[in-house]
Amino acid sequence: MRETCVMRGNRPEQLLEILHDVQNALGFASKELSAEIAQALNISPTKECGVIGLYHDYRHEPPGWHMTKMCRAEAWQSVNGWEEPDE
Amino acid sequence: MNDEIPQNGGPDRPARHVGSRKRARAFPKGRQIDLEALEQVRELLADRPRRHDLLIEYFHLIQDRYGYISSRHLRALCEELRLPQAAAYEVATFYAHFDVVKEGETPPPPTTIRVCDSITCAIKGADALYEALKSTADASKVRVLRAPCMGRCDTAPVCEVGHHHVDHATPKDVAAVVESGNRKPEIPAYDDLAAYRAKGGYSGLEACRAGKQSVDDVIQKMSDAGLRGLGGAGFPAGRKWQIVRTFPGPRLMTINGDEGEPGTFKDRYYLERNPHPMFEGALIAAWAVEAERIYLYMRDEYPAVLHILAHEIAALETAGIIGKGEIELRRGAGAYICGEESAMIESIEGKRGYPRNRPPYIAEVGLFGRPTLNHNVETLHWVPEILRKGAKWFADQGVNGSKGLRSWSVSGRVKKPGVILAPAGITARKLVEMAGGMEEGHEFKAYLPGGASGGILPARLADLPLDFGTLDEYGCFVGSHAVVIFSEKDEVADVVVNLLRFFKDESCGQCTPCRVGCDKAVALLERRDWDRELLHELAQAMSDASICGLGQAAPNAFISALKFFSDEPARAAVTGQPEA
Repeated sequence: MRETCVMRGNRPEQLLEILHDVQNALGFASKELSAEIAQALNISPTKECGVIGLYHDYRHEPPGWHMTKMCRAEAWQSVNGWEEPDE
Repeated sequence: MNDEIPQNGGPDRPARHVGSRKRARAFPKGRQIDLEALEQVRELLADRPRRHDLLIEYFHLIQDRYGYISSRHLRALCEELRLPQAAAYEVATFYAHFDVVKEGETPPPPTTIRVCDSITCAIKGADALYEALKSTADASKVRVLRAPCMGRCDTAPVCEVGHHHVDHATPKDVAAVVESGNRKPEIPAYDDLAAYRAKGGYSGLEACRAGKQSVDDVIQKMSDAGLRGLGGAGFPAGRKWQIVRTFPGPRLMTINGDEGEPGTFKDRYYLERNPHPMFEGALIAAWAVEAERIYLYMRDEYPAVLHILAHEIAALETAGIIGKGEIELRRGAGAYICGEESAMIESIEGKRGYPRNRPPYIAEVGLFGRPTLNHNVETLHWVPEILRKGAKWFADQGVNGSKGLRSWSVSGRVKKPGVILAPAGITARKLVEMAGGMEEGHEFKAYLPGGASGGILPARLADLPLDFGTLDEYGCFVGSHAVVIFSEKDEVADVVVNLLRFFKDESCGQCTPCRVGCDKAVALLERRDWDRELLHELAQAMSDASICGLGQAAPNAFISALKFFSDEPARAAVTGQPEA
């Protein structure tokens, strides 16, 4: 984490990239790690928490080994897609 | 009329919506410029710079001239400043002292009476006064508003008619002032530049500028003296100067004169009597951190102080002590939250007073994104004296293990309320003694050690030394050293509701824990029975998650009341009581 922050110049505008780096390496950004990132970038932990909360792809908890993402948009609904998970 | 305006394909305007069946609008969207209003705004602004950070100053010009800010003037000002109307509107409507009047709305009457309903005035009968004025005022000529603390708790209850304050106000006195037409502040006699220099003033600054004192020596003296930020936070001044110096310039300095904490009036006390120690202290601090400009933010509730400061800044410029524009006076507009340093900085930048998330702290990224040194008025007031008399002199003033002198704003049920200069670490009981004792027929029951934010303590704890950190274990703090004394005739439940109503009104609304929390707290406290568990849960959420000190400290009042006055909340709360 420290390495990626330093590599990106500890710049607040690099927060999204840093979170991506951390997630790519570890799968998630734990609360402890998030606090350290906020400290490294000299931004409020609240602000960082807001960023992590806004984007679907960031998470504080580890995900499962495999992740399936299912589109649930209009096209999916129009073909009664919601019935599929039960099958 | 449409014939006069070029339509699609007209001679002066290129065709729009090419290939579309839609016709171009006959008029542009949105509110149009009123040329007369534009002329009026241009006349008011004259050759003043068209900078966005001066927006609030320009709103004051319009409000002072016309009594309100109409949509046409707001539109015209936006045109002059090249600012979106939404941005200007959100600023104008944020501050209590601006009246924005849209098309079709009725402007306010020419005279406004503001009745202070904060805690000291409330226990001295502000409610009854408000009702009396409201019932007798001619609504077409006078409007009567409730207002937060005006910093005159020593003369409670207080009203402001226009900019003219009425101390120890009665309906009769206020009616007489309304009748007289006097809306201007009374300027008290004070020590001007010549008087201050005759007493050796500015010699400390001259010594610094002449190199007779090094920056490190001066900072060391401040640290040895134990001088701390006296606006409420108590951060060591010398350390603050050192921290600001570590960040690369150009640096700026701000002076926080937005003394809005209910019960506090010490800054006004000094500025209405002897403003130059503050100026000298500020110039020494600016010299120490190499700040190239000083912004002095003064609350609008102190019109006499604003007059004095403007006059004395001009005198300093004329005397060559400062360069033109080196100290810039900024006028607040009735927002308690602007006493919070980052909210004040936002306000100086011409925005709503929304506190910032930290870090970065203002010492690194402050006003206009620059490293900024911010100090309270009283903190700076002591700087020249510490240089003159030595750090030891100041440090030795404290008692009970504390260092330094403090200006205690003592009000409430005491015989002689006022600013009491006394050692740090003094006790509330001693302060009551120094204020002439309790009022006749009143028995000491409780006190606020630090204004509305600092919690409430019972008289049995009146022998605790009062200083930064000494009240932590009781869930209280001294903050701005505003001590409000209550007697057995004051219901603690009423006091707490009054304090929370104040926070509810003054919450800037930016963060949910504070905005909703203060509102919920008032609703819970107004009930006959207080739900302790729920109040504790609410307090926890507010203190954990609020952005700034307002939301974090607001629960102190009811948490300490629950702790020390558990037998009290027994009756439905009513703001204030008529004096016994």
